[in-house]
Amino acid sequence: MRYAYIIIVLVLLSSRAQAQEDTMQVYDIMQVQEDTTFTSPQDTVAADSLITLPDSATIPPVTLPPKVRQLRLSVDIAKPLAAVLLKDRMGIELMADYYLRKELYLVAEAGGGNVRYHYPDLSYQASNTFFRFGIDKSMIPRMHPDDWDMVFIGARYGMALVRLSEADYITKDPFWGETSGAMPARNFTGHWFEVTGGMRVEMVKGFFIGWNVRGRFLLNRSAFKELAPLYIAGYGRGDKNGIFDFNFYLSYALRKNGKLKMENGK
Amino acid sequence: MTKGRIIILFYLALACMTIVSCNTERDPCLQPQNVFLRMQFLRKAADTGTAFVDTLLPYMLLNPIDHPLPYMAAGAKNISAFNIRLDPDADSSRWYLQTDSAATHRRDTITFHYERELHFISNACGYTYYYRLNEVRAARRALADTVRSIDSVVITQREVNNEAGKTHVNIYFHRN
Repeated sequence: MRYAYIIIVLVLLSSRAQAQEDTMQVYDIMQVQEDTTFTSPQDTVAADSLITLPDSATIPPVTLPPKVRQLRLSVDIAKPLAAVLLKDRMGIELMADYYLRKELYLVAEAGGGNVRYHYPDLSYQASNTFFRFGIDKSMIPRMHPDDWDMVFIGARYGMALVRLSEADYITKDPFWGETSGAMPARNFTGHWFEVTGGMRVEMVKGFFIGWNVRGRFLLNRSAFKELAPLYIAGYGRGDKNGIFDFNFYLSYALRKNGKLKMENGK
Repeated sequence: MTKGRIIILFYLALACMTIVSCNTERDPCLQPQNVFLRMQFLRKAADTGTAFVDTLLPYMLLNPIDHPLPYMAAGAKNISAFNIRLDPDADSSRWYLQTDSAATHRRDTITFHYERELHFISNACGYTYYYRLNEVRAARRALADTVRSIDSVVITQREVNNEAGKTHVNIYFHRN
């Protein structure tokens, strides 16, 4: 988890740096004339050392025609990668996001997985399918036509249908000795809320890579009280009320009427 | 490819390495697994006759009656409280108590009646048993001898679990 925090901080810093870099590139494209357009007349600082922008100076927004739509399909590559090493669990996560309007995306996610927990004192198997629904909001303006890169925040509601096998257990008492038994199999549902953030970068036309960081908060802890599976696909560790998680996505986007238009007609 | 995209790919690879470096060992069990029933030994204060104070048993011996091995191999000096483990395979547990380990004829019997509840601690620790005390009875073996024998027992906390520091049963002794 310590590495997770470090990565989050580094990635956010790099995102900010990249946004600043892209912003400066846009200004270059606009061929800003600093002495005529953006320098305040009352500015007494030397023009070659500082460019002062008036409050009204903003990047011209790019608005999309109403008919522009994008459906992006994503697959998480991190979970299968983790399953290679963590042989006791397997999971797959798929995502589809659909561009609505005003940089708002409707997101649906689904997947499944299983875990085999096998130790002398506790042994069980669990499998589940999950669904997540929510929205993402891109936080950076479109810089140029056909710009579908995004840095976003979002929220999700998640639900997992968990099938837990019979669990064999042994309790050990130093004085009275061991007792053993089995907890019956059961099915139950987990609900959670999550906040997420991340980015998508279009590497070649239609193909994206990107990542999400997620903070999840279990809503029905009581369902996990009797035995919380070590891994629930779509959520993570069932014995935690709140967890962080990562996804790394490869995506492909399907677009309709993808012509973009600057608001000023360019 | 822009510099920013290269940075992103770098972090992507870094994060993937983080994932594959995940610990595959089982988590250590950090929660308490042992469940003890704590008994407090009391007697009436000499001056008031109504207030109760801790009493120090001079050389106490406390062992289960239905177990082949002793819980205490030897007597313990000046004990005013003691923890025992309840039998997780039964709904009652009988113990004998000697306030003086040398006085074998002065044995009191304490019987605990309880319900067992299998409790899931965590994946790392597995299961343990919690208990709910229904009744505690004490019987003197030598009725005529009231020296340091049990007067009465009172359940002060029915739920016996892994919470430390709680006294579950008060055992009151005669003043002598």
